[in-house]
Amino acid sequence: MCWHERDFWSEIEKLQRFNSLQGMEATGITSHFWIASSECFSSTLLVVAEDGGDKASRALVSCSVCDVDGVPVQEFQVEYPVRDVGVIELQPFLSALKMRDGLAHGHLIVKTTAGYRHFCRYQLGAQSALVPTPRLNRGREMSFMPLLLGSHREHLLVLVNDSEAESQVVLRVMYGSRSPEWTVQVPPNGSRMVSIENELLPTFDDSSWKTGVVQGYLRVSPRGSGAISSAIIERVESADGDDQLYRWIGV
Amino acid sequence: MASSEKIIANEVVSRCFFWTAPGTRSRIHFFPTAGTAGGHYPVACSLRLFGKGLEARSVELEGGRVSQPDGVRIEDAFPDLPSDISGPVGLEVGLKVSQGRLNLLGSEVFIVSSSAQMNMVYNGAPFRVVYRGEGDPAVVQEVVAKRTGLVAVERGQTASLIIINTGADSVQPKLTMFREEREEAVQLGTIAPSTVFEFPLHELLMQGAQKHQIQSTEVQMAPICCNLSEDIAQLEFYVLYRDANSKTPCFVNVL
Repeated sequence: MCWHERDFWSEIEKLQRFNSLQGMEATGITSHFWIASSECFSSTLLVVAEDGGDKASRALVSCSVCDVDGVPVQEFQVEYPVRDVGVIELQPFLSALKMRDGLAHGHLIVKTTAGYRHFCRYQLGAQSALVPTPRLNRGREMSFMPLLLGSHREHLLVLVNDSEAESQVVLRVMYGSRSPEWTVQVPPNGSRMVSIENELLPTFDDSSWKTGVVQGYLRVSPRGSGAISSAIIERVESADGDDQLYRWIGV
Repeated sequence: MASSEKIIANEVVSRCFFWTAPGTRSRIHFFPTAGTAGGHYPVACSLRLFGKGLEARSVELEGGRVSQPDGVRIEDAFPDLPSDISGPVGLEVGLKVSQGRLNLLGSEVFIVSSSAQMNMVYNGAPFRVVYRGEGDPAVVQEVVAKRTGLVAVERGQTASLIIINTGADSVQPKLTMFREEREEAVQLGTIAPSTVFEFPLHELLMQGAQKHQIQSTEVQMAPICCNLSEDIAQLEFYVLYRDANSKTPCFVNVL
C-alpha cells in the first residue's frame, strides 16, 4: 500500500463534473462511518473489491475526516493492489479530532469507484466489530435498536450527520409502558455521542429501569433534510466491576 | 427491471437464524417501518421456524404496528420447540400491511442469543419483497443476484458461512474466495429446502488468505462472493465467527 499526500479531491470533482457533462451518472460509492480515537476505541477502514478485481490494477480510496462539529480536519488518499484487502489504519489521521462527550470522535467519509465495499473494524476494549456501510435515515425514516437497560450497563448512542444540513434527531427510549423522548442536534457532517443511561434517562422522572434488567428499545428518527446514521456501543460491567465488555449494535 | 415498474413492498420478509445450544436463549426484535410514512397502521407479523430435522412451524404475532418496535422470546413463540437441538435454526420473519402504498423494505430485525458463555446481538438480513409469481421476477433478481462481503478472522477465532434456504427446491450455491494470486471457487454442496447449512471457512482461509496486523491483532482476511447460476431469491448468507477453543459463537455479519 502506498500513501499519496497530494490532494486528489479536486481531480475527483473534475471527473464527476466531466461525467455529469457527459450525461453519465456519478459512478462512485460513498460511505459514512463514525470514528473514534482513544485508548479504548479505535477504528480501521477496510475496502474490498466485490468481484476480486483485476490482479494488475490498483484501487484508489479517498477519505475525509470531519470533527464532531463537521469541520474537515484531514483528507487523504490511499492506493492499494485491488486484489488485496485495503487496510487503512485511521489513527494517524485522527490527531486533529476534538474531544466531546468525553471522547475524541468524528465522521469519516469514504469514496471509491463502484464495485467496492467499505467496512470499518472497531476495536472496542478487548472486543472488536466488523461493521459494513451503515444505513442512512433521511427525512422521517426511523431506525431502532434493542436495549437491555440495567444498572451494570451503559448504551452509548453514536450519531453521524451524513449531510450538509443540520439535523435534529428525535430519540425515543421505550421500556415497559414508558417512552420518554429527547431531541439531539447534530451539525452538518458532524457527530454526537450520547449516553442513554447517564445523559438521557436521568432527566426522566423514573428509575425503574435500574432495578434488574429491563428490555427496551431505542427509536431514532431524524427531522429536516439531514441524513443520519446511528449505532449503539453497549458497555456491560462484570459483576465484580473489574471487566467491561463492549458490543456494537447497529444496522 | 423496467424503470416504470413499481415494487409493491407492503409484504416483506427477512431470513435469519438463531443459535441453539443447551442453556442458550434467543429473542427476536423487529421494527416494522414504512419509510417516511406516518401512522401506526396494524402490521401482521409472522415467524416461520425451520431447520434440518425440524418440522417447520409458523406463528402469527398479534398487536404489531408500523413504527413500533416489538420482540418475542423464541421459547414463547414456539413453546413446543425441542430443547435438545443445537446449532443454527432458520427463522423467516414476515411483515405485512394491508395498505398497498406502504413500503416496509426499511424494516429491521435483530436477533439476540445469550447463555452463560455467549451474548450475541446481530441484525438480520435486509427485508426483501415477497415474490408471488406476479410481474417481473427481475424485481427480485436484481436485489439478490449475488452476495459479497469480507471474512476477517482474528487469531483465536474461526469462521463459517451460514446459508439459509427458505425455498421449495434444493440449491447448489457457489462460494468464491479471492486471494492475492488467485480466486478459489468451491461448491457449497446441496442445500435442501427449508434448512440452514453451515460451511466452515477455516481451511479455505488457511490456503493463502492475507494476514494483516491490525491494532496489534493478527487478522486473516479475504473477500468472498456467494452466488448461484440461477435465482437465489430464497437464499440468505451470514458469516458466523466463533471462539476457536470453546467453539462458542462470538458474532455474526450478514453478507
